[in-house]
Amino acid sequence: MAREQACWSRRDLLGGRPTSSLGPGDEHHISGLVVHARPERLAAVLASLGAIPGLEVHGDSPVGKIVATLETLTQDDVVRRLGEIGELPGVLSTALVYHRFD
Amino acid sequence: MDVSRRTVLKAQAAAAAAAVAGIDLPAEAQNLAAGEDIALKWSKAPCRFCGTGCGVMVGVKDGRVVATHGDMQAEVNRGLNCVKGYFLSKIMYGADRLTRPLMRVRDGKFDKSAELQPVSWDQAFDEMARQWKRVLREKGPKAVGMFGSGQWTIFEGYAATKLMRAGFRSNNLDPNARHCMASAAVGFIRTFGMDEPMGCYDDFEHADAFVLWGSNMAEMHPILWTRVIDRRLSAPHVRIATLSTYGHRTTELSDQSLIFQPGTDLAILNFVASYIIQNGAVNRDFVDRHVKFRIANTDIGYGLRPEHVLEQRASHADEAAVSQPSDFDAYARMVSDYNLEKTAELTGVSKERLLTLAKMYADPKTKVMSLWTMGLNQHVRGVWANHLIYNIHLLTGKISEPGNSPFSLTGQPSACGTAREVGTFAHRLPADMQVNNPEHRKHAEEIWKLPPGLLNGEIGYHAVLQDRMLKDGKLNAYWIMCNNNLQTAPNTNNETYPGYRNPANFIVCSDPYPTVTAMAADVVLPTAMWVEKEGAYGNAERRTHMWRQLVNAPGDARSDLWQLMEFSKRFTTDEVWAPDTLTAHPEYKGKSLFDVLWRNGSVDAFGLDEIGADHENVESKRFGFYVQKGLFEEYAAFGRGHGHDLAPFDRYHEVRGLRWPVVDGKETRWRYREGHDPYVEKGAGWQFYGNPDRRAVVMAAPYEPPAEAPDQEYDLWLVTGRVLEHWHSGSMTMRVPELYRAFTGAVMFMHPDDAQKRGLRRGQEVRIVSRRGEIRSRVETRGRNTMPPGRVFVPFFDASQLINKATLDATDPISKQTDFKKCAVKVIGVAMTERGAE
Amino acid sequence: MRRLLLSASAAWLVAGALFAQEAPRLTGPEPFNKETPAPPMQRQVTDDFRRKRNYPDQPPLIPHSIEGYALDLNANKCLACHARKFTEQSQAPMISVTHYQDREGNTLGGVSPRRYSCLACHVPQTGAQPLVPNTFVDMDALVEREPRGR
Repeated sequence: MAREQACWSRRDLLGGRPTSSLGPGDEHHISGLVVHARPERLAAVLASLGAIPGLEVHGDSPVGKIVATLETLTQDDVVRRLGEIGELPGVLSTALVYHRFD
Repeated sequence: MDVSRRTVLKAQAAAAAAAVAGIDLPAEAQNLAAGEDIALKWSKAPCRFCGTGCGVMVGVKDGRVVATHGDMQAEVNRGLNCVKGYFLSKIMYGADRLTRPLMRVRDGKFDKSAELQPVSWDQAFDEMARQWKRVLREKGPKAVGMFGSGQWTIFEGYAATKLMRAGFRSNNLDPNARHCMASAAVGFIRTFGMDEPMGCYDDFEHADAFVLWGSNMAEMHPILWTRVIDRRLSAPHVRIATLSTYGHRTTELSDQSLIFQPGTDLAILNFVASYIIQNGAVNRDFVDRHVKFRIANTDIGYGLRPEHVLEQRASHADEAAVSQPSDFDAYARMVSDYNLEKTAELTGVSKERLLTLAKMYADPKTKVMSLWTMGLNQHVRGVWANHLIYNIHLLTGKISEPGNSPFSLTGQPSACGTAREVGTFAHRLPADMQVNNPEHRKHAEEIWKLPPGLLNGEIGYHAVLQDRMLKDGKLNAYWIMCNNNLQTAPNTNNETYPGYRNPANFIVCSDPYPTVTAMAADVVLPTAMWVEKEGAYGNAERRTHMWRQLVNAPGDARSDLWQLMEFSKRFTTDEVWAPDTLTAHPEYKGKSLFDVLWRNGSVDAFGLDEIGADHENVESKRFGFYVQKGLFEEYAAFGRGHGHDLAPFDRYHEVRGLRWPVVDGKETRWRYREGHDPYVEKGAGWQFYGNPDRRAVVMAAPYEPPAEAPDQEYDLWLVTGRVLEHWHSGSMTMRVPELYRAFTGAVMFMHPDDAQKRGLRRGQEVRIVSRRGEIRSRVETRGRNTMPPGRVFVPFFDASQLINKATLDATDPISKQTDFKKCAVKVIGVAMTERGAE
Repeated sequence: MRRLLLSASAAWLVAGALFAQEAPRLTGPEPFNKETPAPPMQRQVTDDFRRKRNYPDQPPLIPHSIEGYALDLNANKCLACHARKFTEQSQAPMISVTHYQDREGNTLGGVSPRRYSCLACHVPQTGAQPLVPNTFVDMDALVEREPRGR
């Protein structure tokens, strides 16, 4: 069964701390993200997010906060996607709020 | 990661992020699905398992059964199920479900020595038809046979009896209910002229005393047991007495348990009758008006092969069923032999307990419900045992009224509704009629629209005889449906297996799963289960109940009914009927059996539009008419007006079953009793109208010993039976992980002293050896069964411990029902060196 | 993404002999007359871990030892922890409210006698591996809807 952590910092992920004894092929990672976009660029950011594989938007607010979940096969993918999202035009910040994997 | 876990985690992830972001998500994103998506379609059905006949509600979603629960509206169980019932939703989903026909094929042709290969239905039926025609041509109708089931639906049993008797003109049709209820059925007919209990489950709430004869209701009829316990714990005067050859969960919950020497139940029964007579407890008025006396032939043998020494020695082995008229005085003299001292000594039961038991019956103010199943029926004197219970109730007049009830409990879900009522026995026609009665045959020929004289009047082979005839090469084309006989027949290594592998024989097995029997057959047909077809069962209290098809069978699996009807298309009357018949009635020449049996104006009388738009029905769609309704209404014509009245077909789909006779829309709870049974004339009080003189029979019969008792070498009694968690041979329950893990593999229950004497410890591997065969098992000295010294118990659900290799094929010579409860074995520890050598 | 539902494939069915070796408890010994060794008796799982029910109405399994627990006319050990009045002391899960109802569905002042035989519905488990997989699908898998983007 998976180890659980309600909240991992980016440092944990980037530091490459070993997360499980399962091989990469066996894993399924589920992450919860808050993406903060400039309010006037909200629609454009939502459209860009729709193109990211494994990402599902669940809700947003007029101040530009977006709630999303991300499904990836590996640890590395979580980090990579977070990076991609951070680079999107109109995105102010991304925060990883929840992470579990099997 | 499985889908449901993934859904949960995503919802949690979204909720966590939403909390941080201060956003309210719409409800869908949280851990709660809403509205239409969680709707399930619920439908009623009877449980697939025992003769109690609980009602269940079945929840279906997306073509799958996802849940069941006890039906609150069903009178039988009012919302309760036992653990097997609670796992009904898993029994159809074992991963090794058969989905394609299999046949032993080499180089594209049938070859009995080849392995089973997948084939098409056409290939299977073509070969089956070829074999059936060959055998019928070479040897006639006596050489084809069918072994059916008390778990067949009513429609299936009726179709089978028509196909065999009207199609192939063979009476070699017997159900597995022969192993289970034959003694009870024969006992009913000999006593009352008609089969099946006169009381009903309502008796539970009225009785003052319950006497269980060789019945472990806590495990085998658990929901009826809840009604016994409910009554016992709600009314302080109520008492439960249980008679058994060993202690079990039912004796644990009884006020009195009488553990007796195997076979001596007959003596106890006679003792009780004797006590009643000698203590003035006979209801003379009742006896004078409603009872007659007969005396049974004694020394009737054990139903073994005729050359067996026990059969040679028996003076009335050939006249086992014969009895002579008698009278009360002769009967009283006979039972007076069974006095307290002699009975206590013979049975091993204390005098005190025997007296308490007798007083329960003798007290005219105590309403007594007697209950029994396999302990009494699977008995070499099972018919006598059934008689002796009725004797007690008839002497005291404690019958056919609320709470006073000799109640024969049925094992299988439709041994009553299908095997007995439809008459799928080697000697029977529907509605208690017999094949060897010309009037009865004539009546059947009329309803079935057959040429007069077509039906065969010779009684066919019963279960144990079918196995012997297969072994001896006299029965050559054989179809096994809805049972696992290779596992459950007695003395299976010597008397069953050889017949199945005999090169002269062609064996077909229809089953949903690859059972022991299927693996030994030549053709295996994948069969639909339970709610994968529209069906009807009849339970122990004469309640006929129906269900709709709710889901589809996997792959190419088809129901027994579909198979029987489809197979009939392969034959014409020219091929299977006597030429004389066709010469005399040329209008039947050259007709397909399908047309004669089903397209006869009755079975095909109802169109598909009567099924109802949102109900699937594979069989009807295949054949173009509402087959279940047509079969049922034609069948019902046998019984309506004759005390077997069934309601109109559609009514059963509306209600949770009805107890026959259903007259003017009203079910009958107590038969033979004025005010309850519409067939009883006013002023009569009681009327046992099954017999011409309307009297019930008290039959004098003695104690006679079992066929094989322990001796110097084989020094233990072997008792076989079931456990709560597993149904019969385990083909369904062993594939449900929770039921398998609840009772994982058979064990041998034994008294700790017996184990110690043999140098055995709990958990040790042992050989259980009889004169006929042996198996290996493990010693259990604790647990739910408390064996007295000298007796061991092994359940038969485990195909890796085929205890029927050790059992004896002795039967009640009258009912032909096997005695699975009494034979002799020895138990030897498996030595470590032997095991190391494996 | 719907779960791929297992359907029994022909691979299971070819060569009955091969199959029989896999699960003699289901298909018997191969050949029929062979004497099969009896595996050791399984131990019960008594870890107190509550296992998910297959559907809401399923009676929960017993996750603790019941060795020697009395269930007779004098005593019912199960109720001694699981009846409502003892649950605070025992911290055992309370028996379902349905257990306080009679045949008619009326709620009684105590445990209904018809519920007295606990073991008719509730069973312990051993650690044995299932003989064959069971392809029963939990309803949760079927109520999942397609994921939605914005």
